[in-house]
Amino acid sequence: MELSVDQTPHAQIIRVNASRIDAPIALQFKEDMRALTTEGEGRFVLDLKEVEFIDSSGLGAVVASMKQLRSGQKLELAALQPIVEKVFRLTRMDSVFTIHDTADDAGVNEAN
Amino acid sequence: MSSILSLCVPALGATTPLILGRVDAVLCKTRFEKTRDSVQIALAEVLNNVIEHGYRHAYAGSVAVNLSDENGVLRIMVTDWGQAYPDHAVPDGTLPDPTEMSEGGYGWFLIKTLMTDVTYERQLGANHLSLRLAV
Repeated sequence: MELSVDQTPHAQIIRVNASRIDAPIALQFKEDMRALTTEGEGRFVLDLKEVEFIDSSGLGAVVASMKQLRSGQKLELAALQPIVEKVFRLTRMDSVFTIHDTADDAGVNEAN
Repeated sequence: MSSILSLCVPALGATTPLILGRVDAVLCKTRFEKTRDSVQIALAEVLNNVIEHGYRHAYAGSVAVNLSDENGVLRIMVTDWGQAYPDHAVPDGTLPDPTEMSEGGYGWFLIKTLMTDVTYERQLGANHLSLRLAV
């Protein structure tokens, strides 16, 4: 699982450099997200542009990443590809996360 | 009824993407092309269940996946030789309340939401899960 971080003026963009967030890597993803969010505050935007597939374990890991944040931190999502968008919509988790069309949108615009 | 794909492989986390890839490549060339995303999501959950529940107490096991065209309805049969389902029944698959931020419990909900007909049979030590999806 490869995550890389870009600091922009209004948010830290965490890019997922993998095509899947699924059962075999869900736990590692959650731990990597924990490590990346131990410090800093404000908005973290998870850029899912490269992620073509997510299963319920991956969804659970993204939810866990949000739940393990400290106060003053917020996790948002960007660039959901068709299958990922479908999983978030069907499970109604799209109502829980702020979702941006692209990470650029999210990084430039401050959260409402 | 005509067969679209039939395969039997070890049930491992590492083989799931390979099975899904084969299924997707084959569906591309059929009248079920539009069902690809739903099949990927639902079948991934079924295969995860086989690995995490069916073979929970086993070192290894196999899973067979059969796709067929039943007069315009896509039928997916998944067979494994692991533990029987609790109560020999398909779980309810109720969607967790989104505001609860549950980290699990979405698998059967996704399967039952995306597939039109889900039936389970335990026969001669095997689990047979049948999924149907109309185009």
